[in-house]
Amino acid sequence: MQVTAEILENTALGRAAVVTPDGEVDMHESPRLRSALMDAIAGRPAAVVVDLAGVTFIDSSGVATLVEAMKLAKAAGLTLVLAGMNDKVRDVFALARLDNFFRLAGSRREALGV
Amino acid sequence: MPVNTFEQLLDAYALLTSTLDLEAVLTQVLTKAGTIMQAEASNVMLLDAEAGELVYQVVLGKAGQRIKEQKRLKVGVGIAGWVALHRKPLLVEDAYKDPRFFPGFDQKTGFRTKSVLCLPLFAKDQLIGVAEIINKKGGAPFTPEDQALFSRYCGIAAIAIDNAMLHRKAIEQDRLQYDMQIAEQIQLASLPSDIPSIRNLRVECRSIACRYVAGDVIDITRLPDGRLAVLVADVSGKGVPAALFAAKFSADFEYLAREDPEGGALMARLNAIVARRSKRGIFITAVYAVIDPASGAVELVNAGHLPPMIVGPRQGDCRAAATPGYPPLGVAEDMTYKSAGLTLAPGERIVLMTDGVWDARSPDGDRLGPEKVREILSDNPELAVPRLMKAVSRFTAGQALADDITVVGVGYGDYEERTFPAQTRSLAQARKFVEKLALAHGFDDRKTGAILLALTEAASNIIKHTYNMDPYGRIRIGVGRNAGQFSLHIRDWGARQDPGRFASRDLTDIRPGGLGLRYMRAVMDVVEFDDRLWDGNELHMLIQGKGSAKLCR
Repeated sequence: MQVTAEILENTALGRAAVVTPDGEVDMHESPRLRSALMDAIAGRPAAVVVDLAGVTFIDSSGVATLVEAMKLAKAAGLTLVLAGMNDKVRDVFALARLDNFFRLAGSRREALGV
Repeated sequence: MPVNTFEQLLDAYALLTSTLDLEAVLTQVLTKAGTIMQAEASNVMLLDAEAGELVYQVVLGKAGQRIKEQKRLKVGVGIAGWVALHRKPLLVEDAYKDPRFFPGFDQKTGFRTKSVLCLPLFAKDQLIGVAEIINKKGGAPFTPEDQALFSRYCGIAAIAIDNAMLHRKAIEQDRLQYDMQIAEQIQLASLPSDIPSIRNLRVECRSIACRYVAGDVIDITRLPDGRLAVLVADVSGKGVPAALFAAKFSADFEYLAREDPEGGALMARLNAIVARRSKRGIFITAVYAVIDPASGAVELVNAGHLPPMIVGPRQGDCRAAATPGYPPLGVAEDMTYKSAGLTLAPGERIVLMTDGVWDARSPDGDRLGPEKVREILSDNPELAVPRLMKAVSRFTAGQALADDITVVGVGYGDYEERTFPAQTRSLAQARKFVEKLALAHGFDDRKTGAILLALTEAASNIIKHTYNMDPYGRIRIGVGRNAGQFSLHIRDWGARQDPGRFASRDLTDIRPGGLGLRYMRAVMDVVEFDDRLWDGNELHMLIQGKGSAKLCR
């Protein structure tokens, strides 16, 4: 899995950090996603968008990482959006009934309004 | 009782119960007796009931060491012997006037016995020995008052001696138990753990000893021609004698099977050896199967053993393998044995077991029996072996087993397994292995993704919780595809896990962690944890749907 992060100014959500994991997120890979998310939140943007379009597999460790990030973001008063998940990834959230806990967007473009 | 004497007895009680060391207790018994009773010499003898003798333990006083050198005294001989025989106290004012007195010790030691007071020591109404005091200081003989006091004292002393003896026995038993535990570990280490991976054969093996070590023998070998040879045998009797005989038999089998694995000839040769070696009518029942992974063909020979059961492919399918029955090994030297053939259909599994399974007893004394065993085996053929072991354990409810139990199952059908290092980096490789098979079975991309989720959760739990991230652990993933069923069997060799500890978390509690089991149960139709292996754990997960009965060859 690769993770990239970028900062976009002037999006519909304001200043947004976009974190893009690519590949499979399991116990081996989730620590890397976690540190990218922690860095993004620490930069105090208005929003963090996690672009999951390139994620082909996610397990409970990946979900847990996103739950933790969501809680931290809420506490810091910023918005966290999960964008672009495919059906298989969405199933993993749905099985844990977490799809309503997160703010979801169909794509990164939809989330950022650009 | 004078206050002073009462206090002395209380003191004695505190002193005598202050240690559990037998030597120390006996020395204190005599030292205190000498003080309280004002005696010149004293001794304690413990009863060796089997030999009918009293054994000198500790002797105090001038002639002490020399008396102790005598070591033993026949019950009935001398004053102490009389007391032990009649279990009554004896007060002798002048020893040389008493015909029961045995002057042999005085002659050897130069000691001059005058007055003797001797009492039996009882613990829980059993005679454990006698205590004797000799010659009251000052020259006067012992009196009935002395006897009354010494009797109270001996009551206390007997309890202290008995406690110390029990303690010594417990230590000896602990030592013996420790040796047996080591023997058990040695035997467990000789059980087949690394069962050969053979495509299209799923091999499962379970064994429990009823008394630390078992007289059951298991051998599972891949023959040079690619077939699998399985032996399950049961030495008559239990415990150490059976285990020793079993160990020798196992070595003979290994050696002879390598020379010629053909069942009939092999059993005849083993029979001749066992018959020659057998003492006290010991014999061995054995069943030996050679299974061809390419065709499901089985060559089977049965020497007085329970007939193997054939279960599957559908629920409820269960029959005994029809083979000619031959006598057990070791009954007569010149016997011929012949293999019989049968063919397993894909999804069928042959189950070989020892009669300890049928003979498992419930706390009420009910026997598990063949009918119940058949019912359990046929309930879910894919899980026949683990469910049978679980049922035995539930049925016996912690009771000691009546006999050793061994079960070996060999499932024939589309089956592949791979072993991975228990490292997080293996998770992707494991998914790749299972993904290919799930797609080939006919599951769509989404269903396959869900199966891979269940697999990843299970393997992650093993890496994290069973192996505690120890990178040297191993995980074996077996995938079965038969009769519209896809099965995952995830095996580890880590510390035995307690399934009672596993809990899937409440979904209203939104936090990281604890979701794995929830996912496995949500995705798979059956999730069963198997903690009945002697060397690790296995998780079985089944999902219905798709798939044909075609075999990958």
